[in-house]
Amino acid sequence: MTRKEAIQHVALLIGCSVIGANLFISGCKRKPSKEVASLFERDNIDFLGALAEAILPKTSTPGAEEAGVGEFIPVMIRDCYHQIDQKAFVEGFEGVDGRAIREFGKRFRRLSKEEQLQLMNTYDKEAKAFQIDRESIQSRIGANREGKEPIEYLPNHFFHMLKQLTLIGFFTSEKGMTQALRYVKIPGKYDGNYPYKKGDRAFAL
Amino acid sequence: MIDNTYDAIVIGSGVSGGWAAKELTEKGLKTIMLERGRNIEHIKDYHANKNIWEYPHRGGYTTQMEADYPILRRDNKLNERNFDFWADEKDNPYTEIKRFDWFRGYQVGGRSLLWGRQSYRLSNLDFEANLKDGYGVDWPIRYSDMAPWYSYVERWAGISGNRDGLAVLPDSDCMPAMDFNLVERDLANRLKKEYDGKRHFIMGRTANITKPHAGRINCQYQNQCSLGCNFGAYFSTQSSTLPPAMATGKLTLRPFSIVTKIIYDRDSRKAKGVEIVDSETKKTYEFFAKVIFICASAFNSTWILMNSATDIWEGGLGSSSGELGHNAMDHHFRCGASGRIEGYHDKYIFGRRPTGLYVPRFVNVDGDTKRRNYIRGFGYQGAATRKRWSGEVAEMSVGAEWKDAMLEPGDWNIGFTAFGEILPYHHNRIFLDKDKRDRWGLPVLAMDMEIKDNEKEMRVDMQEEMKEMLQIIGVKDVLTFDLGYSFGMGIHEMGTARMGTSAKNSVLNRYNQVWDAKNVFVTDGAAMTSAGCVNPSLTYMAMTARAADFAVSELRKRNL
Repeated sequence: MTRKEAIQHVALLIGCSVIGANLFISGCKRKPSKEVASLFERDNIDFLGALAEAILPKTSTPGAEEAGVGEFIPVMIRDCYHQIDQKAFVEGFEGVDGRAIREFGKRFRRLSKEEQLQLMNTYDKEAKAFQIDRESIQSRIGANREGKEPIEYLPNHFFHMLKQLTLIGFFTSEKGMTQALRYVKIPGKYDGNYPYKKGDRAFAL
Repeated sequence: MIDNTYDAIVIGSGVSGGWAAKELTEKGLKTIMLERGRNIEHIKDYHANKNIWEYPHRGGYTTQMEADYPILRRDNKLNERNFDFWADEKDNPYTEIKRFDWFRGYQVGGRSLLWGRQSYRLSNLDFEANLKDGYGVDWPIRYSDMAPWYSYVERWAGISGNRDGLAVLPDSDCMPAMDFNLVERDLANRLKKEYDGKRHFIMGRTANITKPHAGRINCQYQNQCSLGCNFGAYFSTQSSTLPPAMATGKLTLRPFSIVTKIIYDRDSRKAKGVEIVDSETKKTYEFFAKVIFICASAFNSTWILMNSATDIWEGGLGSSSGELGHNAMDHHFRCGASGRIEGYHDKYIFGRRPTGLYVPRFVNVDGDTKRRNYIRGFGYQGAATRKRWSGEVAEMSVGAEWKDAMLEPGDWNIGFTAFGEILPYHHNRIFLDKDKRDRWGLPVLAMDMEIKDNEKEMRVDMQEEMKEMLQIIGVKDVLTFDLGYSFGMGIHEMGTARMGTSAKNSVLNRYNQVWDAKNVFVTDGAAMTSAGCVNPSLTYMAMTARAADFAVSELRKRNL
């Protein structure tokens, strides 16, 4: 368990919400930019849905696309992201097809499932490396500013945001919670000795 | 002509105000309860029915909310699910001489709708602490004064827990406790054995009922208390104290009523009533009564006193000792340790328990546990859980196989955060900032307080002790953490109108009576002489019921 996971884990234990906790850590206060408007175009919602589906595809349970992640992402980018991340997201998103063509000769949605997965894996490795660098720079900047908001703010990697939003969007969606996971809204009891066998799905909350 | 004369006025409708209203009306007093915020109707105004996917940001917050509510954002309070239960910091500003995180609930029910519900009695270790080490002033009461009142409020509020038989944490008059899970049970047994019965994981005593009680339905294990509970399973003003107060026919509840001052009568040296401003119309009204209970939450109760009788005492009613606004306290927390538990993969958890494990204080309780570098102590709250696998491995992190793996639970984990005592430092204080005004033109509070070396030294131990305990009982990958603490984050403001042994060293006497106006009682966190390390609300309930009983008997003896 990394330190960050440990922190999130304890946040869970003590009842804090961690949904999007990483996402929302930032001190900028800028108005949402107009450039995110393009994300709400039908074709781009479908495209985002396809990207999310490549990350969390339909298996024996629903995938991200039918869980509505394509619709969810633009709303979050518009309302919950700072301009600098909005810009990074839109730029990254607009570059996906170009990259798919360079690497596989076709637009993303025309790639085979295997090719899509391969591209997503490449993005994922890049994003992880990028975020590690970003965090170390960010923490250096913030080092002497204990208790204050960081002034400088570096954008997140496009894929890092895409993947987080896909996970949040999927695991908080009705389909994700009730059909992929097990959701019991009103459990009515607590059983801390509940049987489990490999393959049983997790409870949603 | 509005009849504005009552037997009693209660200012505030949270944990303390609700209890004051219940006790005073049940003893026959015609009472008005003044609440600065709006009404929240039980069940109707709660958010428990709404699923997380029905929220556009799935419970998060927007950049607009973040810009508008920077203080609420400081510790995960800002969210779109129970946003309307938190006070609006734009209308209600305050001044931070030093950073202070003030999370307020301005509505009927106050923070009783939002509280953590952990309920513990103070012990004589706490009541004698100031006397023994010389910080602050001696409490004017001891455990024996409070014990019957703890029982009294516990029986009505409904506290679930075990009788653990520990001297540092006197047993409550409890309903059956919630269950340990199997892992917690095993670890608790191991801890007890390894530490010769001197350290314990006990089940957190919580104000969630475990069997039907007084028209309320027992906890259904949703663990979404902060959205409001449709079953009335956790203690709040709405679920527990308001219904019996209303049933007497003697209670008038007036929301949108900001008390601006206590009307003090110089000749009788008593309060005559209060002045309010209607927060909607901005009109001023006066209400009169024989007895006044100030239960507006620690700092706001202090604010009211500071604004009252200033023609006689420059610092306000209760300031003659020089202690009003001083000795501000909270509990410092957000540090501890966590780790992974091997095995138990054939076990899981059904239901979401709204409490966890509690580790009662074990440092500085006797000669053997004395620490050289700090005084007082801390307890821990935590749990063992089995969450969904987080999906973070290097070799696989997108695609079908990864997704299906993420639909299964991961390993069992356990983690604790400590809650530590803050000493009553005279210099930690609040005062009126007359240069800044709120939406109603009223002066605001300035916050000037900080933790000092004693708390900082304690924080190191809070992490290291838990790390050691977890390692000794076989937990793997144990890591300590310190997420940082800012004053106020504990949402346990205390001490700014403390009880004491004389009018020279305190604002209140042993019955929460203001020394300078004996028909005025302050029974919320402001009254606390020291903080202890346990969650304080149960103590406010007990001291409120005790003070109400005293006030009514004094009224009958014509002493007020």
